[in-house]
Amino acid sequence: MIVDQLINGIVLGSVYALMAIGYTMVWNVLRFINFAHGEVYMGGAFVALTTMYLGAPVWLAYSCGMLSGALLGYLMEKLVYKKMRTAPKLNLLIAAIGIAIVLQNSAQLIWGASPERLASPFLANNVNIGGMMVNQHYIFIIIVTIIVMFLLEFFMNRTLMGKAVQAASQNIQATELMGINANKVISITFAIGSGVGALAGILVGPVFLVFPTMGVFAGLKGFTASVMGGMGNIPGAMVAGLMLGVLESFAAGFISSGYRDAVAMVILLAILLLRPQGIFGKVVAEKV
Amino acid sequence: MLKVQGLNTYYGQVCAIEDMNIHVKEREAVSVIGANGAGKSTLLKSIMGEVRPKSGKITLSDKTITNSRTFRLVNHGMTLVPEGRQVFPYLSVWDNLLLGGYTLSTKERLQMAEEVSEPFPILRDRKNQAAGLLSGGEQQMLAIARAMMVSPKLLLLDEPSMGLSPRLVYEVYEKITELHQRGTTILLVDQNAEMAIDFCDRAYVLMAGRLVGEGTKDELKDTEIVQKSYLG
Ligand SMILES: Nc1ncnc2c1ncn2[C@@H]1O[C@H](COP(=O)(O)OP(=O)(O)O)[C@@H](O)[C@H]1O
Ligand SMILES: [Mg+2]
Repeated sequence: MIVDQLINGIVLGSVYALMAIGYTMVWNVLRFINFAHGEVYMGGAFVALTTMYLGAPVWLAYSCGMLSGALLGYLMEKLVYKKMRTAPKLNLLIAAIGIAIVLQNSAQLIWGASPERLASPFLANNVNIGGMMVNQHYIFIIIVTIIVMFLLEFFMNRTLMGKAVQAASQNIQATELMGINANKVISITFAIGSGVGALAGILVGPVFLVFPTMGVFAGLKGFTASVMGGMGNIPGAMVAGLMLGVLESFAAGFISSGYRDAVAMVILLAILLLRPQGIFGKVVAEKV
Repeated sequence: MLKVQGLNTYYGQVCAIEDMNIHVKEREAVSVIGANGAGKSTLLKSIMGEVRPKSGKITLSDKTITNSRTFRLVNHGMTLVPEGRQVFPYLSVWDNLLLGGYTLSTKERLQMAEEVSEPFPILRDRKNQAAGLLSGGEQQMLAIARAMMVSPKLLLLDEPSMGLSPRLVYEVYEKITELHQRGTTILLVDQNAEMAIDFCDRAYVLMAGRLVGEGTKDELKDTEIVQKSYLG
């Protein structure tokens, strides 16, 4: 039972961690919360669903979904947020909420409101782990998440473009003085964060199904995890996402499944009140 | 090399630079002095494309660069060491340098990092430390070395002596003089008029967004206004 909940929690947490990355990366370069990120998660899942419906193999459908998510995030920034760079952050926030609603309604118009299951080649099989049967798709989610985290870690810390993304999050004006096109860095950040968010939606599609409002709660959970991890802290967001998933899963398993969503909200409030810099905060202190 | 003609820059309704005309010739070292709030930073930011001038014309090697994006200007051989150094505090000293050479090839970038850090042993000793942990003087050295990564033809410096002890101010100016002697054209602004005038071939005096004086080093040292206002 405990191991069961733990595995459920890790699976859930993987998804929250992937979502949290998007919030944290965007906050890093623009200092605002992209509240339409949940809709990127939903959009990616729907595109994967449609691509598969048109006859594409699973890997191609998943990739298409992820790329469309990246494109959706890219366009959001290019067409809306970029025009509001110098506007008050509240305007951006309202714009993001507006985009979220438009995307939800568009999805409903195109695909309808009834949930549909995204196919997975793994869903029908179980793996025996120490005498316990675990769905193979769950293992797939965990492995993909680990791979994404390694790739992201590599990109951010081992490539010059990743360093430029970090630089932009610390001082965007000085980034241009390095001969770096800051707009390009922002676009790339949006595309990566959104691609990873869409991947999260695709990964849960076979389990929790795909529907127009699927991004609302996932978004809230991802946002909670990014706050827990310390806004702007990418490794923090990953760890916090996992923690949140496990906590939720235990709450649902041992108290009542009705408390699942309440757990996240209680944690969010507690962090905002008691430790707004997040559990992990920032690594180095700034000195001038 | 650099020509600023009839430049006007506003922050909203507030005029920060009014009808400014300055120029910098190849291999020259030019200083702009003026009190706090005179518009020195705004002048450099207008040249560097960080703030948008309302009117006027800026040319770099006879090419009009008014309203060019900052990163493009860096690629055209002009860069700025901004006020307050602006190093990336959470990145290592070495990564700060490497980012300065973002536009170079990997091989050139590593080579340049070795080259520009040579005069600054402290940067090499502490290459893996977060840049935010360096002292103000060390950060200034890093900011200068970082700007040199692209071997700029024209280097702009905004208040390189700000917040530094007299000994460090001297050291920073020594390094800038070295760069100038090795062929870099320099335009610097500083509140520290004594150092700035001593260093330059020619200087401009700024007051409330307007040019109120200009001349060679010796001319300016004798000018009454500079004597009274800045050199005491
Ligand atoms: N971002 C800004 N918004 C509004 N006013 C500004 C801004 N930056 C500078 N100013 C004003 O413009 C004038 C010139 O400032 P600045 O160029 O920074 O002077 P200096 O570098 O000589 O100290 C000052 O009066 C300052 O208050
Ligand atoms: Mg200034």
